[in-house]
Amino acid sequence: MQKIMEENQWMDSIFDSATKRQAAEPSPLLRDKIQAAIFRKQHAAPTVVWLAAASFTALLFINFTVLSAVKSTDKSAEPQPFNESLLPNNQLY
Amino acid sequence: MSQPLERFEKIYTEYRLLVYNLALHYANNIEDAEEITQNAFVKIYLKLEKFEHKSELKTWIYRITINESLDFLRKKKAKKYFFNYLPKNPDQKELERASNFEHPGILLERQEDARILFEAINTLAENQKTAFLLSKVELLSNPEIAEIMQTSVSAVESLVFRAKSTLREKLKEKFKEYRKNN
Repeated sequence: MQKIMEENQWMDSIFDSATKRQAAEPSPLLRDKIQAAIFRKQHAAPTVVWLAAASFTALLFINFTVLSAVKSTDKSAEPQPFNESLLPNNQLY
Repeated sequence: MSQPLERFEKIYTEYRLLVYNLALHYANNIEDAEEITQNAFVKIYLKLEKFEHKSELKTWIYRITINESLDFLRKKKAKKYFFNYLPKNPDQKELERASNFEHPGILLERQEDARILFEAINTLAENQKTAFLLSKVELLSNPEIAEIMQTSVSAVESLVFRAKSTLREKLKEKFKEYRKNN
């Protein structure tokens, strides 16, 4: 019985700890931080613009990679120019 | 100063304590509370023109602060889970919990009791946590809480009751530790 009373008293004290308080004041610098954050939000490019820019860059990169790959494939497929020096010596013995 | 900015300055002056202290109840430390406060006021500023006065300004500001606090905690939890996937030993966890609690609004001699309480509050479901904080910490009436949470008074009563029952169960374990140490 005493243990239950003690437990209840302790719990009531724990619950009271948050009610007996004063209003905490934020840092005076917070106002400036908020104003700076508002300014950034108002002047930042919208998400759509960022997405469009990222997509365009990705497309350019893919285009460049594919073209480079195609060009190097074309070079190897082309017939080699005829080079007389590669021919065996046709001199009659 | 432009008119919207002037109006905002007035709102900041009037409601900064409300927002900051509510953020403190959720975050339990100054750094996070200031970040939540910043996010909340940015949102308030950006949405001020669209505020339709369907509720009181104070109610609307409470709602924004609660949503920003819960969002912040969810993101923090996700980050923590990602970076702390390795199990920590219980002592290390205890140290982190103890060193992170900081509520400047609470009297110094009650900080330890408050830490125990808020640790338990942080394990509650979001709606129970909000109802409990608004009722037992902010000391708002049930109709006011119902307005903020956009629910019925009976739902608020139920949430607060369940929160308190859950907290008492969790605090029973803490009481055993307290008895051992004293």
